[in-house]
Amino acid sequence: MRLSDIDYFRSQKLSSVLLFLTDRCPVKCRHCSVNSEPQSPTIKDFGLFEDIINSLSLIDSVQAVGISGGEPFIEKRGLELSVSKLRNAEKRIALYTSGYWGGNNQNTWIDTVLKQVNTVVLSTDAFHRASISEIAFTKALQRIANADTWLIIQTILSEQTIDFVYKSLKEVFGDSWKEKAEINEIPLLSHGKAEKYFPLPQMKPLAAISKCTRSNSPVVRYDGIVTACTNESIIMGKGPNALRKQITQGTQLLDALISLSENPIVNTLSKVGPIALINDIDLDDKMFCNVCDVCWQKLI
Amino acid sequence: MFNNNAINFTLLTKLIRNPDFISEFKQNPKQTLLNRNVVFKQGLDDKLNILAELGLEELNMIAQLNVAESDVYENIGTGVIF
Repeated sequence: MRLSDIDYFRSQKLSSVLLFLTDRCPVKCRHCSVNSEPQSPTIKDFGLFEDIINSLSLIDSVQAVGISGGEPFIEKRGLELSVSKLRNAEKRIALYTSGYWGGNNQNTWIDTVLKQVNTVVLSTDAFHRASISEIAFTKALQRIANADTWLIIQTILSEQTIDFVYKSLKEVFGDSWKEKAEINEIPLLSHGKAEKYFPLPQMKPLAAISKCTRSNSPVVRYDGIVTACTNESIIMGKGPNALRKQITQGTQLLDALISLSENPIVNTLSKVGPIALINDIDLDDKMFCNVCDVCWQKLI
Repeated sequence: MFNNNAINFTLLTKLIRNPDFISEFKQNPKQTLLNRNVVFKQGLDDKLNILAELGLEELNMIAQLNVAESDVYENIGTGVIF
């Protein structure tokens, strides 16, 4: 499953779900958009978690599941369970990881997981590289290559990282690396730990704000919280409650996803854009930094 | 968030290619940022600490972000976690 496939599924209503497997991550990146740390919470109620995965597996419209966090490989039991069940349900799986595990050859269960997923999205940038050695990263690449799973290297490019990424890809896959992998350049996002690195926002009127492009990408957290979109701050509990629901059993999952997908403000912001709210009395004369800002101010 | 009137990120993007700056920053990041007039107003200890804890590659990235002419808030996510 290539990046274009993932983007396609993410653009279709209820075609994809992000499974947020854990808040925990050992890498301690200084730019983490979801504030993950080695001691952050992770799955406690495996009964609920398995119930949610069972229900997710039964939703026919969901064709692709991204598994992310946090670092999914830090949550062995939850990752093995979800990959196994989702694969049996013929869902396509994209697994997001830092590759921190690359240098430890003892953890052979990781190779089994790598073979079961359709895509591995491996992150590297200046922040990841401050914690993950080039040797560990290259070994992770090698293990993904051995699993014969499509690889997406996800990176915030800088001169040093560009050189490192190309060198690593050629070292592992040879000159024909594009037959096995692709590179996805991403921006630094103003959420979580990275928020403090950003300049003061440029505020704009409603008419100058772009449409929402993420309203078809709901998130299912390991703890039963379902959110309408992949906005990291929403996932971490900030923002309007109208964008999230707490489920306590798997049978509630589909209703939660449908209900969130039918939020009229979210639908307006994604289909028409903020300009549709130009005569809204709540937003009259206000300025915003982006469409999420509009959404929050309207829904809170 | 940085108030860019108090931190000279444009200067920082130039300094970060200077071997003397790189050497000084590695030895004493805070003092180097002050001595080189990257942070030039009083009462910015918290911002100075944020910059001083970064590695050079990270620092360059943050400097570029803060001098970018594009709207860095416009991007609401391109698959960072999905």
